[in-house]
Amino acid sequence: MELLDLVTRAQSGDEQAFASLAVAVGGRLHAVSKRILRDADLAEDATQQALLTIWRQLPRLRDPHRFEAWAYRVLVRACYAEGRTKRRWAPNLHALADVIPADADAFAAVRDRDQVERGFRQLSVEHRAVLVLRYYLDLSPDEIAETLGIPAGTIRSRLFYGMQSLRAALDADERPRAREAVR
Amino acid sequence: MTTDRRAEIALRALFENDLTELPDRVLDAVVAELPATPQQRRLPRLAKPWNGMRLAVATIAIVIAVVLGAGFLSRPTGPSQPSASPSPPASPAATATSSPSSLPSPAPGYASAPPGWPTPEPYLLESPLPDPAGSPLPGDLIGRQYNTDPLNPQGIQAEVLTLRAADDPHCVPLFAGRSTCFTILWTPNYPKHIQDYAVRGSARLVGEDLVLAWDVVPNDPECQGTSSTYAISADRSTLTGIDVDPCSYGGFVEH
Repeated sequence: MELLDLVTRAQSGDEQAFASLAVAVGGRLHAVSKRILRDADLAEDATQQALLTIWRQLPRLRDPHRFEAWAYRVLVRACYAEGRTKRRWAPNLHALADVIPADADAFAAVRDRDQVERGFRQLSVEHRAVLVLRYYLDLSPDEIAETLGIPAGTIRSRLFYGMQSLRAALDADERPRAREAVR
Repeated sequence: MTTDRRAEIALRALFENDLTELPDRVLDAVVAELPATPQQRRLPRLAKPWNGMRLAVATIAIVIAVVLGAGFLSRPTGPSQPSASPSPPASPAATATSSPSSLPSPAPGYASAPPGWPTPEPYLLESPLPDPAGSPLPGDLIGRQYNTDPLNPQGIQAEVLTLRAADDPHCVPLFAGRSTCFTILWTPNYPKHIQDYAVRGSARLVGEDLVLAWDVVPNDPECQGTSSTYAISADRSTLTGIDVDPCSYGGFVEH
């Protein structure tokens, strides 16, 4: 059954159709919330809340063709709420690569990723959301603006600030090593 | 490699490596909560007729009966006599013996009400609303009318967006002449939604975009206070939603 059909049926209160819809889009939504929040428990809560909000507000969505963009907007709002209200203790753990990098380039890539992750966690949820939509979903700034309902200028500004912070995290990692090289 | 490029590559790698699957328990919890989670239904924007309106409708019914009856009694034999149609409610220009008029054409949002039919009245507030953000609409947008996209027809009627000047009778009660405004009204307001206040509020430019604030939505209070942003096409003929509340429409297309 097509997504549009599920949306239309769920709009009229069909719980089974919505359950199918949740299965169809839940994974994609969760992937986004996990990347924004960087915490499995918070992401599950955000996804669950988003799906229930989608169910509740679905009849008010006038254009079912806009469902997916609208669902991402609902999800990002749920991420904002989770990110702000539940400041749990979050261990800053991340999995090590399974394979030890064989060469210097691969090692540098792993190190960069680690530094970028630290920088990413320092950003606000709003900035993280924009980066995820841009570099994970590959949406253009204009598409992100449409999805989130925020002016395109604000999106560009958040992208700029977010990437600037990540660059700063990489640069900060460079400096001590550069100093060591001089010694 | 520049730091910019390194940051982007590292960020994409970070997102790619982060494998995630939505646990079944989350989906199960959502499905289990559905029966206890009522959906927010979109209310039909049909105004409850006020007492004066009820009187007017009753008057119309009587006038129709009289006109139809008189027409029937005075009709000479012959098949080609025009049939009578409803008269508008009492107005200075209308009389009980007004001449028959043709029915509106069957195109939604483009039909016209019978001659003399009253247009929707401005919505009066006890005090004007606060000044909205943004800047007033430019002159070339004022007076433009748009069908909703998708069209929301009811027979010959459809909801039509009208962008109005600050001194428009519909805008003055809302902002005391300080802001351009809009209405979304059933057009024509005949034969249903005769006195439906529907939606109205400020219409402003924020940057280059049109922001419609749903300030007054008497029949759908949940939508009151929402706002939606639309990109305006170069020729002003289409408004494309870029930040659209579920209460509003994804876009508008000029008549």
